[in-house]
Amino acid sequence: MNRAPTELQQHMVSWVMGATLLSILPHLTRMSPALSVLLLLLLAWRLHPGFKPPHWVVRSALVIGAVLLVFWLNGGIWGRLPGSQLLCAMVVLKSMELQRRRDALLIVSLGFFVAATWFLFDQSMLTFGYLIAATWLGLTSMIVLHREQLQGIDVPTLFRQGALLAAPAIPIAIALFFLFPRLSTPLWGIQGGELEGRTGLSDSMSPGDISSLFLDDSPAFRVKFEGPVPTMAERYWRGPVLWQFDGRRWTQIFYGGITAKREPDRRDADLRYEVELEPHQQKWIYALDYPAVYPEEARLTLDYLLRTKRPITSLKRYLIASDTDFIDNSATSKTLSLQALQLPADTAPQAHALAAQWRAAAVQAHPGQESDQMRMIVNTAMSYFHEQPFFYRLEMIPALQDPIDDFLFSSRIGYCEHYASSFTYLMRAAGVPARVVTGYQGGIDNGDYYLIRQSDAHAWSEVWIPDSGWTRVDPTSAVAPERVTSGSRSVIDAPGWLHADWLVDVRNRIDVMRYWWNRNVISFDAKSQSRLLQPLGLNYASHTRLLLIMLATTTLLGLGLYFWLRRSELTSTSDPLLKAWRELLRRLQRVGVNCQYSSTPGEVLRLANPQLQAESWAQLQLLVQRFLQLRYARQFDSPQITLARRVLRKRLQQFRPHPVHRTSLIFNRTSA
Amino acid sequence: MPQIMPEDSQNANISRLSISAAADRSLTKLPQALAQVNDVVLGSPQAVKLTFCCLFAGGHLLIEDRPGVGKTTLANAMAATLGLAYSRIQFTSDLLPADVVGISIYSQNHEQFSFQQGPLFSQLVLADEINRAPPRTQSALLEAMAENQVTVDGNLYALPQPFFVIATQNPLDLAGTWLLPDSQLDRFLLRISLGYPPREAERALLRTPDRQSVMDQCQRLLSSEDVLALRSLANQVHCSDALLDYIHALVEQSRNHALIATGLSPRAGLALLAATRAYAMLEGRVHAEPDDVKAVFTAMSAHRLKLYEEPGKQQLDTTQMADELLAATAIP
Repeated sequence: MNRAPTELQQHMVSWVMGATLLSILPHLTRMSPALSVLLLLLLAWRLHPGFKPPHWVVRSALVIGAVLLVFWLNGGIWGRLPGSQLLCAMVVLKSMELQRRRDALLIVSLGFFVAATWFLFDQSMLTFGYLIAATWLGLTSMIVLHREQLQGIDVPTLFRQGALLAAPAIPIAIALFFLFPRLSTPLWGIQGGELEGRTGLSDSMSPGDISSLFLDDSPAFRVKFEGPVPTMAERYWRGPVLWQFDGRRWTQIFYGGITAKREPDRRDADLRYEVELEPHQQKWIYALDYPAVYPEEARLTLDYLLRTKRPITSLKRYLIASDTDFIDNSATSKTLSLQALQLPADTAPQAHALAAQWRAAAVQAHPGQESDQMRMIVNTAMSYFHEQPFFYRLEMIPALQDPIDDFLFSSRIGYCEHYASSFTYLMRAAGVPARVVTGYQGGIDNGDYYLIRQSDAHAWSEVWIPDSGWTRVDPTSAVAPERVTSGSRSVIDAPGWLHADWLVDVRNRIDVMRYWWNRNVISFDAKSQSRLLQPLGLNYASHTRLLLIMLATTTLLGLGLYFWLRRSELTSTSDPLLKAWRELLRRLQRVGVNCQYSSTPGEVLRLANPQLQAESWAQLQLLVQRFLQLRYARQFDSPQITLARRVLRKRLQQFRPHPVHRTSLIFNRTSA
Repeated sequence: MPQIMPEDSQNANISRLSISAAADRSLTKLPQALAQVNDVVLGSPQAVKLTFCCLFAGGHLLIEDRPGVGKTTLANAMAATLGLAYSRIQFTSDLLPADVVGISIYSQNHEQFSFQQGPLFSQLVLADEINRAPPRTQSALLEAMAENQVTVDGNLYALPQPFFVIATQNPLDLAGTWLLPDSQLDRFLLRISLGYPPREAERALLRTPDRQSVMDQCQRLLSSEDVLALRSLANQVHCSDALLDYIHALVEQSRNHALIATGLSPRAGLALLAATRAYAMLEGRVHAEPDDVKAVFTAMSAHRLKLYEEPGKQQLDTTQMADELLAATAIP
């Protein structure tokens, strides 16, 4: 005979596999291709209509193989990366024994969990939207699983039902968001070797490094100034300072990393701003020269870079106050002065010759005055770049023999790293201590805040002049001044439609949303939580108390939702007359009449008879008669009928049942 | 039950226009006819009412109950009260289709085959213990019920009108029975059972010395013209949009219920509508109300619903299921 359907039909398998794929898809993109291809193949195999569940030996072998593969790929199975990979693998392998509806429901539920683990890696608005979509598909496939057939129902309707299913969870989700006890540090530790692909500036610079960032429109960081905003040409965001040159590549040195001996006084700080740094997986944060106030976890190095102990792996917000007038003239040690003049042996003979020529001229012009000599050398070099036919372009002319000489004397086409590198080289060759500074320059005003993109990456130089300390010199400004005054895009047009003006504009607008998301959602931490709860008299709520509040709120919300859904399910009607009738039924229920929405008017009258006073019952009887007549008897639309309906509705609304007094009930019984 | 007076001067006037004088006369005989059948079949006024309802809705009736509770008595009382040509077929395990429908016999006088009509050619047919007959014979009867005509040897014979079949059936667990297939159960508009009579009714039954004499005293109160007139009158009973919504909601509820394997078909929905109209007419109204739907719903649906079998669980009766559906459907 008939049995409840537990066997899966092929379309159900497709829905379940679709939901599973959507929930593991983000994970697939970051696991090793071998594993993701294996998982995709297994999914495709299960989708094949001729699929037969493999023997249990094969299944066990697959499970053991998957665990070993994850272990081998990650060197362990602990941590969020191998953990999520293992989860994905298990969900897919579970589909190998997908036979009955129960299995399917299990897989879909697991899919919700797997999808949610993606939050461990990324918490952007896009991820949020994607996971909502994945959850939606999962819920919809659950609806499909509970339907015997899909006849007579179209896919949009199914999705609408899925959305309706999820809708009651929204208030609870919001309550959980605000009330779930926040931890000041994330639960999952970041383990060594688990860093993401690094983006943005690195700790070294060779030709092509910075120009390759030019096409990257992703945000590097955002800045909100409190008070005065420096002009674009003054906004040099300091990154790693490079001291060591090997003929091609500039790198940091150990001494640059030791703590600064002298720090700017916070009372002199004239710029205050908050930076929201996108994770770049490096151990430093960006600031304008020279930071006087900076977050606790950072320290100021000798070359005034803010170094952090841990790499920035998640969105970081910090407050900075900078003193722009500070002079970095700390007496340099012998080692550092030598380092600032270091040059690789036997490189760029032409550059050396040119530098020697400049030096001779400077010594002749300012005999015995070292600072003036140096200033003159710098100015000569700047006018050299300005007057000679140098071009500021993206395309790379590969160096034939010597990168410096080839650039300075033959190709003369380059990006900021070429200029900073060759300028610093020339300075050192002429005996002026110099170093390369990398960082970002400029940034656009994006409404509420300033947006600095990866394409704003820049490199410039600093020279040490005895009476004024380390001084910033940007050779790029001698070649292409607009680069500094109005941004990199004003000098070079980015190739391709991806960088069309309107698209950039759209991206700026999207970034405004992202900024909002970061400020209000991601950064909602323990502090903002307690600020939010303070007006409610919940100062310094402990985690346990918060947990209790959260449980109470969600339980109340859940109960409220339950009753509301139940009620609206039965009362939902657009007919005002029927609505008035049902409201009357509820009033009757309240005085103890056991009537339901499913009771016919006749039944209601019978049920109400012993409960109501005679007069009240007679009144009800009249109303019921009138209701039956106006609702079920034949009638033609006329103004009288419409009026009669309205009158009845009023009378139904006004009717208040008068229940029989308890004593009189007893009296009636005894007398009977 | 409180008396519900639908008489609104305006509406009643409009409705009365469509009632012919003949139908009005037939209508006045109705209460007497009901009372007479109730005098014979004691203690089941609702079953009697549903029997009349089935007759005027143009359907056929299945009475399913234990032996000895008055199934045949009800059918006989109906036959006695209605002035209809009546025949009774006792179904047995060796009954052949020809025994029901009729047979072509070679007549030597006329030197040709002539068709001898079987007991089916009547206006009121009592098919007693229908589930004792083999399926072939059952289907011969049920085809006739569905189409109001019979085909024998390539000739079509129309059945007399009105044509009303009352079939009785023993519960399925009794030995020596063939159960009716689902598709044939669907041919019966209503299925009722009489049950044991209440205390007073049974006392009255025992007190009467001769039940046969009560039956003999029955008068023919309704002619076949009356029945036809009342049938067409029932057809005119007004069903408002709200009532149609209710019928639709019930049918839909049966299709979405988790425990129901086969919900109600569109044909069942039409059957519910027809029975509701006839019942409203019996109540003396020219429009149908939710009470009418409720009154006929269980008799209409219980034999059409198929439930899932949940292993290890107390099997729910389809009658209980019908009540559950009624309780779960709000009145629109």
